[in-house]
Amino acid sequence: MAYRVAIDIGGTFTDLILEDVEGATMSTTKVLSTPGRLVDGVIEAVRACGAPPERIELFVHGTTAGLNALLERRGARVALVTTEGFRDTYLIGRGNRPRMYDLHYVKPEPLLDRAAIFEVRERLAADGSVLEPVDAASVAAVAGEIAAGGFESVAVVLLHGYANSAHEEEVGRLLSERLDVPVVLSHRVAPEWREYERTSTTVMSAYITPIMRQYVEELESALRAEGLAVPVYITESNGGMMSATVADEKAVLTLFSGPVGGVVGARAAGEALDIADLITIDMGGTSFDVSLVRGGEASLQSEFELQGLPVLAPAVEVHTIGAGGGSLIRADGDRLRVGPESAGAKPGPACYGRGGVEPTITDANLVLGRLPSEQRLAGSMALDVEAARAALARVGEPLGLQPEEVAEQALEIAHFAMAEAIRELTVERGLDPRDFTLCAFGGAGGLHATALAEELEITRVLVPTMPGAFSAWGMLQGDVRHDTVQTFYRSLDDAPADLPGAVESLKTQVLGLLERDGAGDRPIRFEAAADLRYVGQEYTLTLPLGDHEVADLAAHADALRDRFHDAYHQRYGHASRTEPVEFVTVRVAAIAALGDGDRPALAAAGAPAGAGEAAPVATGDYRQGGEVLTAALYQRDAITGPVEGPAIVMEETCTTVVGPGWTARPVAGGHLLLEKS
Amino acid sequence: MHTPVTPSPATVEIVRHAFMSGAEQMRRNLCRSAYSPVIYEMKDCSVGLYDARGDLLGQAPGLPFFLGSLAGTIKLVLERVGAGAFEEGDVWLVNDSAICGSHLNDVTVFAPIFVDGTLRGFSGAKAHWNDVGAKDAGYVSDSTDIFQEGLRIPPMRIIRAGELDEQLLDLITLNSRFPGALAGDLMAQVTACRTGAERFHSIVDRYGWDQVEASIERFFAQAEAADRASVAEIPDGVYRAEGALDGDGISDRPVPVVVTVTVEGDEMTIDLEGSSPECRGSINSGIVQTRSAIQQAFKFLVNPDDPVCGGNFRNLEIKVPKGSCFDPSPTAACLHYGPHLMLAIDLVVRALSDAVPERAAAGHVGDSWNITFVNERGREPFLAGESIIGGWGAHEHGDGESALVHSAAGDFKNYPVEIMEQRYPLRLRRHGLRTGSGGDGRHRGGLGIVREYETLEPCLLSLWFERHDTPAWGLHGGKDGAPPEVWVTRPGEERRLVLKCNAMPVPAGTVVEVHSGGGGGWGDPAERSPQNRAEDERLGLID
Repeated sequence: MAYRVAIDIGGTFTDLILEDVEGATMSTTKVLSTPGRLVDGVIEAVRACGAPPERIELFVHGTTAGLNALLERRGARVALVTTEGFRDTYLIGRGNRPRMYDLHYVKPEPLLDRAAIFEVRERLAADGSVLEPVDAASVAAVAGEIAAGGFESVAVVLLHGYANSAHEEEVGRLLSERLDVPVVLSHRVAPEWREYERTSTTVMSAYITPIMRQYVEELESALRAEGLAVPVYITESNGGMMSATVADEKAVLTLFSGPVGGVVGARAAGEALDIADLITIDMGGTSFDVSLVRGGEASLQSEFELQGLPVLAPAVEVHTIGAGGGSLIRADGDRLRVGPESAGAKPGPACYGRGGVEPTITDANLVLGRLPSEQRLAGSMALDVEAARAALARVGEPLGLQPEEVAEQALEIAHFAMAEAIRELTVERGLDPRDFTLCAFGGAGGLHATALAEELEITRVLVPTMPGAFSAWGMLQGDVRHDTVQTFYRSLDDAPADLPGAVESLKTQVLGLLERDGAGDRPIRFEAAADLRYVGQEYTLTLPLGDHEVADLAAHADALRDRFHDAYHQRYGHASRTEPVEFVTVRVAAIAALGDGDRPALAAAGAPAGAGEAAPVATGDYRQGGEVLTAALYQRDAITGPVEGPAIVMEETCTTVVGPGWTARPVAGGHLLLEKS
Repeated sequence: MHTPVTPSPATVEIVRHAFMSGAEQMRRNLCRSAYSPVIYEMKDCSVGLYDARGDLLGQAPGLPFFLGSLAGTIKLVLERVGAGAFEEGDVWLVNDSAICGSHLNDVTVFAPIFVDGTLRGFSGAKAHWNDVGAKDAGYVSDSTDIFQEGLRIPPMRIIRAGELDEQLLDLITLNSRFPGALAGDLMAQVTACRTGAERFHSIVDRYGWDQVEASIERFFAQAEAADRASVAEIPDGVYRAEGALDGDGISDRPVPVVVTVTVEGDEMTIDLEGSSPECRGSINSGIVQTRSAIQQAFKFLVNPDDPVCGGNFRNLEIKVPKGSCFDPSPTAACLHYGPHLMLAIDLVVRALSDAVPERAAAGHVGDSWNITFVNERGREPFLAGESIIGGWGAHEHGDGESALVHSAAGDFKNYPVEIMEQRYPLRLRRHGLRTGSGGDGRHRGGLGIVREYETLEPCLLSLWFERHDTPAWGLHGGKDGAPPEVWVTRPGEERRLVLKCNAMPVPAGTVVEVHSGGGGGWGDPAERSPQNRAEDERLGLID
């Protein structure tokens, strides 16, 4: 017997998914998360899942240890070492005032203060040539100050370090000889130009490195003690995974380790069903995350912001808005507002009976009959409809609205905000949401999926298997993946002859990482891409590069240029076909498949799609558009054939509303496909 | 008979947000496809959706200075040409200072939006073009009439019924030293307008025009009520403040600016009477931009976090003396249309700083502080211009923030050193905080910066650094911030202080040290806590 295990640690629960490779079955284990000592929850889940640890052949883990350390500002004391004359780059930022009418604007809080920034003498030019060599004495002096200052980690960011890594390597070596803390070099974490953004990324990586290191060491040794024989893999923000060893060097790449699992899962679920374009929505108690899968690939972005601080690192593009089951419904003058404030887990929605008096989206769903009161959230909690109605009535009174009217209008507002979040990722890029399937998961995803689909005129919704633990399910579908990037500022018209060399050197780099991951002997696929733009523009478009283009760019430059014009036209509605185009960066991703392609458990899971109609367990009132309809209630695992809406499908950690005019049917892989007739 | 429509609160809320997010989508498309850093990094632009009267429906963050300028321009054009002049598929443009209020580089592009054959609104995108054929390349600082400042374009169709007017485009590009970027920026604006029109239509398709129109009136009324409630909290009275600019770029005679703010119940009047007459140099602004800047001053003090729409500013009366630098003759030089307006904004805040201290702040970066290096005839022609960031004023709630862009700009981003050195023959020797530049006080003013450039090739240098003689003021006993200084050292010459110059030839190896100003302090310095002083010391923020 061989097993594969994926673990996702959430705010409330730690989810484990166990795949029995030969037996072709999958099961979930849910234990309470153990904040403070997350490893305990992981070990408890591993013990509870029933698989002997020595039989586990793949152990994948999504961790929010880094992200939480950042969000709660519990990271390491970081010293920043930079080029003389540029001490304040990190504190100055870019000088912008996003809250433009605020006379009292305060910048995002940096991760270190001015006393933690040290200058060394050295200087590179923009082309990487040396203007002034590294002054070893100045580095030694700085090392002394860092040692005396009790810092726990060091970030080294030298001007133009992306163009020539020699100075950072030398300064890093000199510091490591004298210091016993992690030293993080900017060109390894983010070899891209723009000194503030690169500094911010490197500092953030150094900030979470010691915490990640300690966490991973504890986890690995605890799992060893249980008998686990294989390395622990960690999901990366880019949707791939890497070994814990490599994660230690590039901690910043694990920031979105948690949320990406669902996107990777949606991609895999879509692949099995031959659905290549999906909009994924992950809705829980406080937030609503949107991502795209296009042409069978998760949509990646090369930079993003966290708490206002920029990060140059590839990440699955997740657009988050503050709309979840706990979003508060409030009257403000004669306006009705929903969120972004949330009731959280405490006091929670009014219907939880834990002291919450303000109504939430969950209360609205309950009062409208979209969430059956027999349903027990998170498997255990009873819901109080009267408390929900009373809370809605208090908000409705000044507006002259009945509780049910408030509930319907609040959902309308929430659905609009969610639809806007989806439009930002689609319509705004020239993509039509109607060409996509909406894939809904998370505790509250299924509740809103068909209504949201109608708002966007989407006619197909996929509620995947195990929607409440879908992130962990997704982690089992990932590959080992590394992304590298190099600033490559060249004119496309000159068809730079050093392109093959640049791509080759990036391939060597990623191959080295895969070997250290213990995945060097797996089948490896490389994907090269370039960021291109019109000369003079700032924003770039990323285009994949074919092997033939890399090998002989001169012969294919015209075709590449045409592809750029076309992509530009698709995005912006116009293109300047006579304007020159330039390269800005070259990217290489290396992907090593861990699966052997034979995964019977994925195809066979769930009940077979039969013709029989399941019997509803009950019926209930369902309100929509001021009308009261009757909805049938089903248990999900009992559904074997088509179910007509309005219907409510219940399972342990998720409820799915099949809206009027929609039909749900089980499909291969244990997923539920909803279609508008 | 027209039946009145009462939209539900949800519809009103959704329509309001839909116009804002439509504008945001316009802004992103503009910034991502524009060619000039002045648009995509400095956000020297403004985009919005407007109703058929020219009232704002939704705006995206651009230059806060342009808060009301597109609305003002559309209204003025409507007055000039009449609503009947617009046809479906048109895109118009205009840059004349007498209509747009700002300098000729700021070009307004706008498109009428028709619903079932009836004009229902406009989408507009205003953006800064680097060169519209002024007498010198770069940022001219010594013009004395508008003819020296570039090509004046009255309201014209650049696209008629969907067809681009190639002849007009030729005329415009022929008048620019950097025609490629200009055409790209124009097309980016056109795209933004079309995006806006599509979103406008999708909103109307979803709810029907009657619901949309009723929703607009509803959220306009809500915004007006919020403004009135906020002004009503300000004690009634007449508040006055005055200040002066160092000079108009031609003479060193100070340029006086006087504001009188009258608060009566829930209404506010801001009067610029007593300010300088039209300047010979280019410190003049058209009435549209003057009104826009005064609306911004109001916004700093009244509901600063709320989005803006056509319902705002209905309780604000703006009085502008004809013939002053705030409403000059149609041929007045307007290239530096900002300094006196930014001073007026600061003076409005200052005037009310005793009445509503919790909403006010001490003086801050009071000018755009421009530095431009240009060489249009070298091996590789280039134009590198930036606006230098500085310290903001302290306030009742804390110290002023350091190193932020001036009040007229918002989500502007400064030039990374690594990109600057890659693109231009310049080397940055230093980029850091200017320690000791924040005005002392119970709360300390924010710090300015020091930025040192070295030229690697000969070029022309233009500088505009205002507010040196009257730097960012302290309030309630706080001290003034340090004034801006620029030190120029040409090889073999003495280091000298230059605050304004136009196209000064500088050889390779010239060093330009810019020390931007700090923000003013708030409250008596004796009341600054020992902990805060020790922290300033530890971080090396004071000298």
